[in-house]
Amino acid sequence: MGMGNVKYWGRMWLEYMGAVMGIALALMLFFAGGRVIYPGDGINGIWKTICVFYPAYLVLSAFFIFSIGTISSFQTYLPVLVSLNATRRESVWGILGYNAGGVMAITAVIALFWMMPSSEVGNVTELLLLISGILLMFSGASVLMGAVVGRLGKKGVIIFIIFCAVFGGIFGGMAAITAQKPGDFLLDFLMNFQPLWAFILGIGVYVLAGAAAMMLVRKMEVRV
Amino acid sequence: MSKLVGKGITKTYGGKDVLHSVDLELESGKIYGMIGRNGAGKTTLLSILTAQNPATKGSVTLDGEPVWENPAALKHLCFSRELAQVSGNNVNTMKVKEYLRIAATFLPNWDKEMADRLIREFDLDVKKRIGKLSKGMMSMVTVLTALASKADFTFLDEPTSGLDVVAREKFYKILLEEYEQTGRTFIVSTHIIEEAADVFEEVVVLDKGSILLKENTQELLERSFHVSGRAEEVEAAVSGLRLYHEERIGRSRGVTVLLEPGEKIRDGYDVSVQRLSLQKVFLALCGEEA
Repeated sequence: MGMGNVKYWGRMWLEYMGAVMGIALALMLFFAGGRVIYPGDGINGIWKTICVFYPAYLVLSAFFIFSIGTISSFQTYLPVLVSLNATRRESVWGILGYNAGGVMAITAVIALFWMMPSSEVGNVTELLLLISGILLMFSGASVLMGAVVGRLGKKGVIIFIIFCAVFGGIFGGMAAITAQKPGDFLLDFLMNFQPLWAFILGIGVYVLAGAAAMMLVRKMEVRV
Repeated sequence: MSKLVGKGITKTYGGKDVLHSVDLELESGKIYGMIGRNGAGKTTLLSILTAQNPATKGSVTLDGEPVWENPAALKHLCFSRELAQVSGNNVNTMKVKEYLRIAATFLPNWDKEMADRLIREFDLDVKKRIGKLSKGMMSMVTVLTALASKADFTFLDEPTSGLDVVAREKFYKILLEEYEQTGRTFIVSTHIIEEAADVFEEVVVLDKGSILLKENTQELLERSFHVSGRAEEVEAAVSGLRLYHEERIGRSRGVTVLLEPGEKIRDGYDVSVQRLSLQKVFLALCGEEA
């Protein structure tokens, strides 16, 4: 991979990481502002609260920013890059790189919070494996959808919408069947994963999605 | 001397051939003009030669190396595409400065000094989104990217469309200065033939997906004639020659001939023989108004 590619996608990664962390902070202040889980602990209680909330919103904003960013990378940026002499292959490597780098960075930030002495989160390693596995699966799906949208244009957008509708329908339906709020259902669903297997599955999904994306954009037409 | 060679390039869209087994060889150190009517396949051919789009059949090589997905070959090429005001998530959502930053990142010989100078000369607002630019300003971005790329083979697609006369003159002046200083190869596709004719060392005429001719512009003009007069006189003067674009008005007849080596218009007949401009040659070859 050329230095230009590393430089470009490295900058993209920094921008997205900044957005993820900023939005997570904004979400935490907006939704959890003023709530302190450990009110009796003073300043330490505030820190403990941040250690619980910030990682959760970090994961949430990562879902949001990285999915939009990845699809936009395929739809808008990849054609421009190819029109300016980047290869399709190295561009997909770049997108895969900044997504995987994003997952690693987010996991590392969460680990930092949870490893602070004031944190009371237990089973940190397992939780980190679970989170990074799920983020990898989600990133893999975003990469695949991005490649479909990039390759097929409007048809790809329709496929993406159908995919989201079907996924949302299944998820909502299962939440309804189990008579749970969607948020509680999602939490239960995720906690049922074996962390190590979730991590391995995440890597598998990510690698397969990356390979499929490479195939999809292999002969992609450029129209900027 | 570097050579960019396209062999048997065929491109099919939706079952329809846009390019039919095109063979084209471009040598370094020349300014080529690619002319053809709308839909002739110029942009498609340029995008295939620069590996931006895949050919359905055929190959493109630079000094024997395939250019497709080959960074080593691609660093010698730049195809600055015509930008257009189309909606959707595309380059138009980017600011000019973001587009130029990407160009500077991926084009290895990017000349920042030249880019900055052209931004000033063209009075380009780099903070604007590309989609918000006028057609002329979009052309300036295209021209700027091509010139500052410093690529050995630089392709420009309709670079002067939307530019006013002053800007067009400025563009050709800069292009010639750059050519004289660097000896880079430029391949310019254009509809505005007359004003570009003096700039092209070689001309490639593309019609309905095939190359009609590729020739030194001066040599082409030296063998192109319009012969007119009374029909029978014209017929006798040009008998045995291949005729292009005939017209008849009453008993008068006019024909265009492109003389092959050894051929000549017969003497002794009462006909008018005139040299043709490149635009007239193009009209004769492609049959209709450009």
